[in-house]
Amino acid sequence: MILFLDDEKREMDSYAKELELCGYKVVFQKNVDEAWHFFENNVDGIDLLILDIMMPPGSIFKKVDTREGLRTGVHFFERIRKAAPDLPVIILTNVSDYQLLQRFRKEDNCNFFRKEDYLPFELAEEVEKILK
Amino acid sequence: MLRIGLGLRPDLINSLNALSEVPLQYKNRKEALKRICEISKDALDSYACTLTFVDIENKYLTQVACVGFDEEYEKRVSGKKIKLGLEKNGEILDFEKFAINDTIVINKLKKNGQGVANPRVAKKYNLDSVLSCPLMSNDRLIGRLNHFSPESNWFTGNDKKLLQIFAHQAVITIERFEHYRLLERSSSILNAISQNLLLSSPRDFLQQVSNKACELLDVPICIVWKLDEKQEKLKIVSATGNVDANFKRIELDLNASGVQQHLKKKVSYLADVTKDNPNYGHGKEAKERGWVSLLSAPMRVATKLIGMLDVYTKTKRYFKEWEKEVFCSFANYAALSIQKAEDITSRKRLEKLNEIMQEMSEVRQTDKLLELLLDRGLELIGCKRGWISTLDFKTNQLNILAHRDNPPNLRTLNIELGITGKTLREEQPIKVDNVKSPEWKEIYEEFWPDTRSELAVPILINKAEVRVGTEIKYGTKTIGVFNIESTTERAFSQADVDILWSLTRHAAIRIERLEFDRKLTKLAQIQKEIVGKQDWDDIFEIVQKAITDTLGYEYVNISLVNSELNCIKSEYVFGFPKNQVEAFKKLADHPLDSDNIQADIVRTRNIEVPANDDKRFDPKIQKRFNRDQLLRVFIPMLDSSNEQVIGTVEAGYQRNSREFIYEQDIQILQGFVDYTVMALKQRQRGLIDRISHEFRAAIVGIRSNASFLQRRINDLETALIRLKFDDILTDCELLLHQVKDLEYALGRPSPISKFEKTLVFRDVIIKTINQLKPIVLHDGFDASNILINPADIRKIDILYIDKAKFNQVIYNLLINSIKYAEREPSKFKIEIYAELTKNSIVIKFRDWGIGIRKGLEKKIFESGFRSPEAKSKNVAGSGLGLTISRKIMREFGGDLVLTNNSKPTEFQVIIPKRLKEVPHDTLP
Repeated sequence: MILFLDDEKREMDSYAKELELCGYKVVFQKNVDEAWHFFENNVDGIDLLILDIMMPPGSIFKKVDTREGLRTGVHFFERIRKAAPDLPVIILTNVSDYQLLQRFRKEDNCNFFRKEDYLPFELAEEVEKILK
Repeated sequence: MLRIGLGLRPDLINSLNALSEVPLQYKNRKEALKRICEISKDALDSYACTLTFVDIENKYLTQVACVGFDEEYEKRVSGKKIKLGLEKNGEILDFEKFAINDTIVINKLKKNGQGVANPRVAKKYNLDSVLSCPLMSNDRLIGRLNHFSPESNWFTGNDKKLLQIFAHQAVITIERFEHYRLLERSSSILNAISQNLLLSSPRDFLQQVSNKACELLDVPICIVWKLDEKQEKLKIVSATGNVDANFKRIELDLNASGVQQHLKKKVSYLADVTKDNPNYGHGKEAKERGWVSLLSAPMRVATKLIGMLDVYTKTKRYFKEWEKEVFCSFANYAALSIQKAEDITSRKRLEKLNEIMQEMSEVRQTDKLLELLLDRGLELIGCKRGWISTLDFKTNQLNILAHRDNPPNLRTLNIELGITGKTLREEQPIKVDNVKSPEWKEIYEEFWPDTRSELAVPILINKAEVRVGTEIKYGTKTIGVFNIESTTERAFSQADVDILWSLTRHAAIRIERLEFDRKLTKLAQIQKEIVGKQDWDDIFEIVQKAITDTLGYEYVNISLVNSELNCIKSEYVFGFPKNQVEAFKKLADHPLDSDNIQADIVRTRNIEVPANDDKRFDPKIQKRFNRDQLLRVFIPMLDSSNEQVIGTVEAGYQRNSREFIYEQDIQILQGFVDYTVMALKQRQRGLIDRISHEFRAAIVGIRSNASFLQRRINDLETALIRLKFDDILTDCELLLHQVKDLEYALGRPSPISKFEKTLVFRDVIIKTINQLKPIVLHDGFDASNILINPADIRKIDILYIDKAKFNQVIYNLLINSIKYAEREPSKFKIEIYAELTKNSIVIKFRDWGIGIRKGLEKKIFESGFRSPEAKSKNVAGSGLGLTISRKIMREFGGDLVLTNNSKPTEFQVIIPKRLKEVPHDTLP
């Protein structure tokens, strides 16, 4: 199962649909609170997390400095990493900050993709490689 | 014009605030510099940071502070001098890389240090890239702030910009710190000299003067010359450092032209006496002894030359302006001391003078300092009657600030009148033995009927640096006059004149410095205000106010370059009658390749104070707006990130009591202009980041849908295909609206087109709802909960209006209602009503979303403002929608208002009825 977390559901719908047509079960969540709740309850069933970076911080990151939501995904990733250190993660974002790319490049089992570089079928190909 | 952007990072503002506190919080230089390093590291959130001073002339680097390293490293390198370009243990620090005036990023330090680091240190401390920003003081490189990262390619363009802003403030902080400490040192040294004056023989005393001068400026050599009046020669009477007997035999002919020229200056500085080929400085003798830089000041009591004080360094050194000032004060005090060294009464008086000077150095307000000058000055001379007046440059009158022993009753004085006026004009003290004598009674202005003698001493700086054209020259800066009166004739001696003039000159220098600090402190506060503003109009209003209220200019004209039209145009003007502003702005529009002064400043990048008959002034403007008597400075607004001039700031005042624009004021203004440009550019870049993110999201949506449809169309059900096409259309509409917002944000909206027949509900409201339906559905809401009263559709079916602009307003209101709806689908509801009033049509938009917090009613219409609630609901968003919508409605003569904060949130679009009655010739 793929957990797909992005607050721009409409813009990302084709990516989710393409993955579904490729045979993956996709659970789309558009806010961090619900995504975390889902993750906690389904941690063993999740094979891959696709994660956006710029998202509202929700209740779970209310007291964390997410730079007004610009870096919420970074904190979500760190939380996930503590709970599931080996879970493959794809960061899929419109943020083109080089520093951010560098930050995720250091992580194991983590890919950093910019949305503009991947069409839905290309993302599906990458997912296939990762889950193989 | 509406130019909008996003603010500077709040952590940068905190850092700048923390910096401004350093000079007052720290006494120890090492600790202060380390604190600057710490604040810088926090501001950039970097791995490690070092602060290095660079001695360009001697090619030395001194690491003065570092954070992020261990104690051992800190101890080892702190204060260590490293010769640049010299190989040591296979390592060379490249002079060019440290001397460069640009902000640079250098990667792969671990590999070989890249000429900027020791590779062993880089490996040990895991440093692989450095971001290094120059610290510039008056266009002179004094050091570098260096930030390190364990990874190459770590630092971004934003980091560079951030560090440039920080470095600018860091230089001001370092200089303020050093100046405060120098004043403290000067105060204690003068105190020591004063005590020695009573205890030592004249010969020992002269040696003390020389030793203390070295201590004051931390220089190795000092030479005290004393004037032999009979022989008209300057002879060495004491020296500190290795000054051999041969040198001590040198005598200077007072009438030699080089010596005369040298003595005319308040202070002389030669960076390299061996190369500068000066008329003074004994190049040959100095070279033989390995002396390099010279700072020299004549020692005078009033106008009388007593001698000369020279200090030499053994390596090239640049003396700061305040170091020169303190050195001058020291030379004047030394002159008085030397003159009076043999007279015990004078010695005591001199001790008193020193006490007062010390007291003055502790006062932080100009008015209090002047009161202190009055009280202690009277005490020094042994009188009780006196008054102090200060020159008001705007009214060209003297304001009486304080008086003792009662009258005067007047508050202001004409500067043309009385002994006071004469003192001011002649810039010299005037001693009147008998005010009733024929020589004086005509001009004497009586305050006390029983006054018989008077002493008037100007409070001024003799040789203040001023700018004439592009050159620095000297001029007088007048602050006021100190008058002492007595009931007896011939109450004042020449010694009284000398000592009081020393005191007033010292006070003038202190006042100048206090004013400098006051202006800088005030500007630092104003810079915080600028940080909080988003709109260019608001920012320039603050800038104008700062230039007039804080810096004392009466006239400001800010012109901006329009590179598309290849012109420079006046955009913000202050100091004109309101009814002339538009006419002026219309005329002040010049091609960039013209001979006009503004265009020339953009090309030359010079800071300039042109003469009034300068041919580059537009004669039409000069004549029509009476600008012949205006004294003004032109400053280019230079964007340091790309070295482009974005405009000019012209600031000035009437030529009456002020004949000059002082260099110190220009430097403050220039610093402020540079800061403003950086803040504006930072905002513009922030705005571009945000808007490009929104654009990219829509484009990614369109492209992914198109690609998905292209590849999967045969696998999809018709309903889904339709949905995807709807999404594509909606994203296209979003993009079009964002382009319009962007045009407003860049200050170039399309003009209002001819009003066209618009079916308000069908053409605009219902169409917009349909465009936004896919967003509503994707958010899980029911589009049928957007309700319109059918009766209202008939009520205002047709308007004659600019359809596209009206559509923009409706779109912004509806998209906000959808974006900021409560998460719970059952709570989603939008209602639209229309109402006709006597003069207008009102369309009401109500929603039951997250609402607007009390107190933010005005703020939500400010450009770039996003409430915390809005940010927590939707991260992206430029905060432009409501600002632009209100601006559009006001352009129509209508308005957009918030009438209820929440449950429901209600906005009313008010359209004046006259729009409906637009002349028929504008109809399609």
